[in-house]
Amino acid sequence: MGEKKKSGKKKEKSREATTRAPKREQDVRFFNRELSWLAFNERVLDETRDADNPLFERMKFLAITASNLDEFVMVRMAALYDLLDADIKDTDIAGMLPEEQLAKVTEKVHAFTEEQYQVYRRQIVPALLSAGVTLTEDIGRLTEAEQAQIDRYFDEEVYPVLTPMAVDASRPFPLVRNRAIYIGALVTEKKGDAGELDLCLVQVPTVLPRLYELTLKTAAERRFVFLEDIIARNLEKLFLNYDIICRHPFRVLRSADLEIDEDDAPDLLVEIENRLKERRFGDALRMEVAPGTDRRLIRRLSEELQVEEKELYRLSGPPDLTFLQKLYALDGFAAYKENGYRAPWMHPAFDKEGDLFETLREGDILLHHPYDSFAPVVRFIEQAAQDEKVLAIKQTLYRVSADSPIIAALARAADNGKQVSVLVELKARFDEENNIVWARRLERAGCHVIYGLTGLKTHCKITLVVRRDDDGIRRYVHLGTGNYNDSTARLYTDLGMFTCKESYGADATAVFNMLSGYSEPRVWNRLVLAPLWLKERLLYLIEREKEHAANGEPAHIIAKMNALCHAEVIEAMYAAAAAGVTIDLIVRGICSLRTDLPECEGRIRVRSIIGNFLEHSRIFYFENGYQPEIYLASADWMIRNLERRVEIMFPVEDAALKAEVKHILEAELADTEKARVMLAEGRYARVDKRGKKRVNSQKLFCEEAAGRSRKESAARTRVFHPRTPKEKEA
Amino acid sequence: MQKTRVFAAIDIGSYELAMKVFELSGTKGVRELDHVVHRLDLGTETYATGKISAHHVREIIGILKEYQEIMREYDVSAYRAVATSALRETRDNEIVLNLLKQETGVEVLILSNSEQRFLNYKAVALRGEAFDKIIEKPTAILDIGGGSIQLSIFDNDKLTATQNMRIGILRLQQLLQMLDAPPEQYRTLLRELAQPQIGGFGKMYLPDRRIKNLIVVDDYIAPFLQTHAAGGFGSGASTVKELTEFLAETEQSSRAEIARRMDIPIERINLMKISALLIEYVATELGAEMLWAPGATLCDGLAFDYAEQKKYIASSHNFERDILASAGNMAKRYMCGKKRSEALKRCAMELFDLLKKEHALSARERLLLEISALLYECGGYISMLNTAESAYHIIMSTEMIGLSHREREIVANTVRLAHMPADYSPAGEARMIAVPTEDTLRIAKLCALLQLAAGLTRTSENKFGEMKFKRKERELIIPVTRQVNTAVERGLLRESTALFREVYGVEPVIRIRGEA
Repeated sequence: MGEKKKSGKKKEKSREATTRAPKREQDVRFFNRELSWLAFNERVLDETRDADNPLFERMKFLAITASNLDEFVMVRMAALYDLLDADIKDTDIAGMLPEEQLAKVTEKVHAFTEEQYQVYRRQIVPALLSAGVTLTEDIGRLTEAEQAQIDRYFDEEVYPVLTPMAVDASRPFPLVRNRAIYIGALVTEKKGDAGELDLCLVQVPTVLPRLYELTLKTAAERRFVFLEDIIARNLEKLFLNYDIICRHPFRVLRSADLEIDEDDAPDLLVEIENRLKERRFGDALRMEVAPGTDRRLIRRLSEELQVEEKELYRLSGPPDLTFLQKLYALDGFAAYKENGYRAPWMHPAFDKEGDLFETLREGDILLHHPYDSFAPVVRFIEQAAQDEKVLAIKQTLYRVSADSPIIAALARAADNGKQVSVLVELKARFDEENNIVWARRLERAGCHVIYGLTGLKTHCKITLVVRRDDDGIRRYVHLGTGNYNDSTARLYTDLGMFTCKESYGADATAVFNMLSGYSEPRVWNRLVLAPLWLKERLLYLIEREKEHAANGEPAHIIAKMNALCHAEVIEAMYAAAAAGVTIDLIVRGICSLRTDLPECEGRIRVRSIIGNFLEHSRIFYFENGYQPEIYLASADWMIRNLERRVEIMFPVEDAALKAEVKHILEAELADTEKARVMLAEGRYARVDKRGKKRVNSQKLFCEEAAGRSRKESAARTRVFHPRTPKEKEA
Repeated sequence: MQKTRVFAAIDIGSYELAMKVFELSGTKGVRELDHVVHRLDLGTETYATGKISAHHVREIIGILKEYQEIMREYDVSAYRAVATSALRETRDNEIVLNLLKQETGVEVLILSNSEQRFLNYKAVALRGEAFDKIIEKPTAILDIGGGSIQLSIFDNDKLTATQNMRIGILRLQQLLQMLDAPPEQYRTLLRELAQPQIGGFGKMYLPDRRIKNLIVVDDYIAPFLQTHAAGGFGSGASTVKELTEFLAETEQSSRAEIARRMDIPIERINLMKISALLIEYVATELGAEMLWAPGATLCDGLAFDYAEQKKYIASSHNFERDILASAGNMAKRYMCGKKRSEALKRCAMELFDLLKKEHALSARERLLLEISALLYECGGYISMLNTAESAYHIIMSTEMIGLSHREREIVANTVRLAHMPADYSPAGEARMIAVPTEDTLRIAKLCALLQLAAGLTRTSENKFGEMKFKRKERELIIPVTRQVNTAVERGLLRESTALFREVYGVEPVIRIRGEA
């Protein structure tokens, strides 16, 4: 029986290994992006191991590695399987064939998973125990009263939402949902042939919390039991006429790549909805089984799910470690959490009530999230929605929060008779469902909703408010490096700029015209758009630095981004470095660039910051002789960003704001605590702190934002704030 | 005048439907807020079939509705929507316009070629200093449309000649496709196709002069020059040599490479190339060295025109002077006597100003009368016997940039009828039936003045000195000194004032100074 494969993932198995001489190490000018990404996740895991981090922070980092890895398997590994399926023989920029990549990646992912669970078992679980948090692994070792409490919880809360599924000759193998945890059991009929084992499955419901907290008499300890263990313990109640031979939790990860033929989709919204339903049942790429899982059960599940040995992950702990993120939210463990990252703070420009537009007319304003509060951005939309003088609001939305105040404000604006146009990117991976809901809501409110562009993802973050001011029509623009998401704005570092300069306003109008299907403008003033112009502009800017270096003028590039793997851009940087340009790169994740090419003479340095907040901003600095230029962007230097997405890069022109952004880059380049530098062959190591001032850039930004906020408040308040010695030091 | 006003200009062109939104204010002048362009190839269809298909009409309706949404975004309080050659050359275009009005509420006006070119010219001329500087030297304006081009010549900073030629880039593209020509042969073939018209224009208007500067109005090369060239006249300036070099480079490149370098969609490459070759050819033929593409569009012209009307801006360039210079040049070409023309013009203007109350005509009609006076004798160049009809045909077949077709018709009829005998009545003439009633009245008023002025300036000798006429109750006193022999004028006065008396109810009387 088994699952019917939609794609030919398994073709790969029958294909003969390609015989090809491996590329010599010195010929490889780039690192493979998948392996580079895995190295990034290693760096995150490294934060879990770092005893200097408080326990709950380490736990959070472990949860992040788990969530990251799930996505990697569902998207990137799935893409490699797709390449095999399509019989693609092209090598990647590192000279690797798809099968070579998959083999290497699979090996690394296995090793990484083992490391994750080692950290979990050897470091996190014991440390939690010391902190008074017990993650129960064996319910049988609990007291009878506790066991009774668990069984009562099962009978009253869990049992009603369970759907047991048996597999036998008359009932086919059910569809096992992506990412969901199941209990797999082998059973035999009480009155039947003892040798015949049937397979039964029960999905662990996602509507209930993964961890059940026991009510204990003592407040000093908090004890949790995994929901899957509760269900497994009570399985007999579901299969009354069977003897249960074995019962174990397992989890499957499937391909989550949506393949949408947009040209043939009459209604993209409906098409995406349909594909989302299919995603839950894409090819199984990874099966995780709990420790001690019965071999017979593994064999049976592997057959049914068509999972090979290399796709089977025998875990040494509970599946899906993302539950640790929920545990992080527990009250009462402040001592185990990082308290040096106090944010956000209200930017002084917005630290007063009244007309926000008046504030924006005073000059460009830069917000550095999460240090600066995201509230002014929400207020910008909210005030625009209410303001009588506002004529129109236009915005792009990629990922929004679950209960987005921005969406509510946009709907209200339409209700108030404003012209509201919103581009909701339906193809934002893993946010498709959420975005469909918002798109419909906005449409009902009377907004003009565009569901993205055919063949392109709209990833730029831009808002345009057209207002009839007393002296004429003025356009207020917000441009950002991160999403209009008030939740992630507390966790991701991003930059946003408000401006009402005519040049930016005209370009913003042109962007929305292009997104609405009109032709490009004759001239762009400030903004640079992908996929049409951004790559070319970056190549030009790099080339210009090269010319400056050749002329003996200052030539320096500092670029901060999340990922760097565009071969053409990297080659341009190699050439620039060879010509004498100093290049400092702050790349959080994937970096296909090598720093060890002899021609570059060590002029390219790469560092990655894994901090309390997710580094997400994209900042590009070009020394340009004696006239530095700074750009912010929504795009990484990846093929998908520069060639398949609508992205915006915009200059920061105000001298004070340029200094602010330069300071951000300098602080990150000086970071000794959370930065790792790339060494030869793409290895990363922590910064050598000897002789250096200790700098944690994220903490520094928190302190600076707090100081700026307090300073401004102090100037306007009648209550004086005495300075503490600590503040004096800062 | 409102402090500020948001104005939209819509242009239904041969290959695109464009809209610009402007803010007009006394302090900031004309400020562009938005520019949307929707590609829509109407020209290929209408130039070939003379019709516009139903699906294209539906498409226009859809786009106009979207444009209305954008107009709402800016709270637009006034708009002008115009269509050019594609709709102009469509049979039954009235039906299409009516449909557009019914479905969208947008009233679209079809511009005559000269109106369209004048607005384009206005958009260029109102660029201020750069324009004033460039026309100090012999300059031509090449306005490239899909259906036709307009070539105009400046002399001593006045527009002196202008000619429409049906070699627009869409038309040329059609011809080249019909000839199945590969792109590498475009230059040769295009020259052969354009030579008769461009060469003829040069012979007629520039027999002994060379042009220094060529101002280009187009949708393809101008945007490129705007972003990639910056010469002596500000952005958009380049040299013909650079254009030739650029064309040579493009010949070595693939279409995709050109599209990438020029930042334009690949489907626009063909028209861009034809436009560039046409510019290169015209510049070479006229001897131009410099190119200037200010990036002016018809929408800009509409906005400037509206802003001027509503007194938001005052133009530093005198467009009436251009029209008069153009008419003067025509008069010269058709051998109108200079002295007579001048005398006739002065006399007609004097009469016009004296009878303001009676005719209640505007300054624009004064200009039409002035042009009519300048061209009064042009028919004689063709036939001394049939001066009236000849003059009519000359005027109607020669474009004067700045005059609409309707205005040209008023001038042509004014001149024609002024030559007719006193008892001639145009009522019932097929030609006059087509003229709108309000124009018939205008023509009658202007013709009456021109006829009288012609009667008084019959000879090249100036018999009426300063031509200071006076009104005295129902009489128009025309003073003359005792020494001057006005026997002919007096004798024929009755005949030449028949229409005048009928229209104005005033009796012209020639009276010797000092006599009661």
